[in-house]
Amino acid sequence: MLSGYDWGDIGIGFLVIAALGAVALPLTARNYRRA
Amino acid sequence: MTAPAQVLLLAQRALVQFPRNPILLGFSVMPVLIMYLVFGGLFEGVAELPGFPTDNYFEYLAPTAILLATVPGIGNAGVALAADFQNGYFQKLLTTPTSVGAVMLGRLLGDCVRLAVQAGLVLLLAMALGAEVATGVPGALLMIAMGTMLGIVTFGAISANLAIRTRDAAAVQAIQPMAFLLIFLTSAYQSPTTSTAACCARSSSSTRPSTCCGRCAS
Repeated sequence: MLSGYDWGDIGIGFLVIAALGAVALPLTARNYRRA
Repeated sequence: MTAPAQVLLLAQRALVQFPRNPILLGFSVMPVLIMYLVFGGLFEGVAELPGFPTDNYFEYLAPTAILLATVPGIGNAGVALAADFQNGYFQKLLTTPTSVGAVMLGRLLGDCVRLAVQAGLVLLLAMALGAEVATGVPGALLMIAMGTMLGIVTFGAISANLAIRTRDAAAVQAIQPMAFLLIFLTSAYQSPTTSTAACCARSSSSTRPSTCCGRCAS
């Protein structure tokens, strides 16, 4: 069931999404609090 | 009420709104389907080049079509947030114990569910055109989940910030086509060594076009 996946690339994808989310979402929430 | 419960409640509010506006549901995915069919049809012959990773160009384009559905599509969340500013709903929410971050995240999460369904439709169209997901249903769900999450943390955050900055739904709507530009810069369309345009340009000036295309597509 877990074969056929490129887990390295999937991991990098999730890391990129998590990193972007860790930067963008708190900044956006802060902008909303300041509004 | 805890912050996650607030986010879920506001996401639920967004989800309840969608069926009331079937035009949004139908027509927000239409440009993606049209672009997928047009680009897929235009460049279908590229898949016949020696060394191309698949023999079906629609299959090659399917992951990008999912991104085309999710990344620009999340911009509608920013439009809805700006509309909430304009009609005063946001100010009403501020009089409740709701956290401001939950208002923004709830909207993004609600739109995320809509986009996942629309991305599923795009994938079904791709499969109808002969595309195969080698990893089956779990792989398809993973692809859709990653596409929607990428939409939230990139263009979702940008459009939500634009909504708070302008408080104007039309302004947020106006920036949505910029997301398409970002998608067109992905490796599916642009690559210094394998771009279709570069390959065609080289092959037209080469004495042995097929050799050139085979080299750059592999």
